[in-house]
Amino acid sequence: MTRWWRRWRKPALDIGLIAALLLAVSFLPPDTSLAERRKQRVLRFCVPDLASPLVAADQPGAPGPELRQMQAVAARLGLPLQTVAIANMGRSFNPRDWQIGRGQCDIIGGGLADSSANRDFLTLLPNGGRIAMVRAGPAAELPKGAEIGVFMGSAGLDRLRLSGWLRAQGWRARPLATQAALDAYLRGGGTALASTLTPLPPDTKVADLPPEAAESQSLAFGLWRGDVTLTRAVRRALSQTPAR
Amino acid sequence: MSSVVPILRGIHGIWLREIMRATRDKGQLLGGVSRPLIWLLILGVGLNPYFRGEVFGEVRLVLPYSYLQFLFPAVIVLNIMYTSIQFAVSVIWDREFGFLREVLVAPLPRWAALLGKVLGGATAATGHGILVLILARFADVTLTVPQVLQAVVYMFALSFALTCFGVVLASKVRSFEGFGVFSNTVILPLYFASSSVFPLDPSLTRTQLVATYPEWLVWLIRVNPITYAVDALRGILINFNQFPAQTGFGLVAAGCVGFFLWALRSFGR
Repeated sequence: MTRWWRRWRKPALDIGLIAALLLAVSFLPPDTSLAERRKQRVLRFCVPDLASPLVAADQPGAPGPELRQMQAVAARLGLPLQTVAIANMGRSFNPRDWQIGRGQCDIIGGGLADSSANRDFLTLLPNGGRIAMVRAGPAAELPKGAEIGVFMGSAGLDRLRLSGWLRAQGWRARPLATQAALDAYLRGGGTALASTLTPLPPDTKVADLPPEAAESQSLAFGLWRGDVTLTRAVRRALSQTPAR
Repeated sequence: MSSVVPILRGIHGIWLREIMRATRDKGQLLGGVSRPLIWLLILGVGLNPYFRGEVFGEVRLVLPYSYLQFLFPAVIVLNIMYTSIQFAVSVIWDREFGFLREVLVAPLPRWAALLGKVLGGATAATGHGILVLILARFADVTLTVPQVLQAVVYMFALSFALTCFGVVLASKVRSFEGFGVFSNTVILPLYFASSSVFPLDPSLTRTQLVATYPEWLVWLIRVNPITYAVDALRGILINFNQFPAQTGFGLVAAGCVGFFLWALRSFGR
């Protein structure tokens, strides 16, 4: 044993002991969120509408991509998944109006944008999906002064940017308030802008918009901020789930 | 060149002495581990539910972080503050037992002797800050290697400035007991009035801010240099700044130079 080691052995052991203690402490669960889910034997997944293409696929009874992912996550956590449809979620642009509470949801999905506004309230785990505006309807170029339908739904995309681009094209925007109005407008041969999450009539031609027209945002699953153990478990399960 | 080597040897000798003393002082080591445990494990976990999202749109901490994540960098600063300022006790100790006189009559410039001591204190304080980093997993803070390296460099600069400040305090106080009381009356108010345990919501305007908090508290937080030191470390570790990050880095750099010069003036008087 060298002189150097003899001199530093004791302090090195003390510091090593302290580091080991802190490392052991870092594995303690910081909250009860995962334990609570395990105790109640259910993982509640809130979505805006069970008919959303992210929740339901074209075939009857088949799950959409976000629901498939969440089913895989729930299976990895060993918990039954309960899908909860929140009517307010799809109807308002402002998340405050959705009136979702911890009592209803453990995880929020079905088209939640990875935006700073949502990050202020929730812990977001990106799920590989994206939301953007697309052009639906006839492929022919619209002349200046032509009318174009716009259905924003509850998509949290930049409306000012889109309206600026529409003005620059010289098109007249016709707001379409409901999904039924959009369907009727497209069936009547019109061209409309809608988000990628909007179900469109079969055989509708769809084209991407240029980047200056509208932003494209990542989609995410939202967990209540502060639910550290549940978030960790879902993040781990998501990383083991094949991307959609 | 021949005069530089003895100075470097002298600085190294004094630095090593301080490190040996710090690593053999069980009380200091226990303090370094108990503070993060109390603050993160008990206060952090205890208050976390009160700051978490309950209902969409009705949360108390409107920041994209959990309370544990928000508190984590502040606990590192607290550990550094305590170790750095308490280190100055060794200056009183050295003065009391005549070691300081021996150092000051040695053929070593006064600035070099002070530098050796301060570097020793700053190294020990940085070590105590690094100990808290081990708890990053617990606080759900994901760290990358560049982040850790940047944090360690910043923590060392902060420790250096605070150790110099401690030496200045030690030069004003003559007894161990007096220094203990004095340091607590300095550390705790500085720490609590630094937005360390609650945020000044950056989304609020000045008018909204003074409607939320009393104006004197907002003023106190804004003039407190530790506010910016904590904020800069938050920027490094959790990527969140309430103030421009450059302010924190600038203040710490200025503190290193300013407090060292002040400590040099007071040292060995």
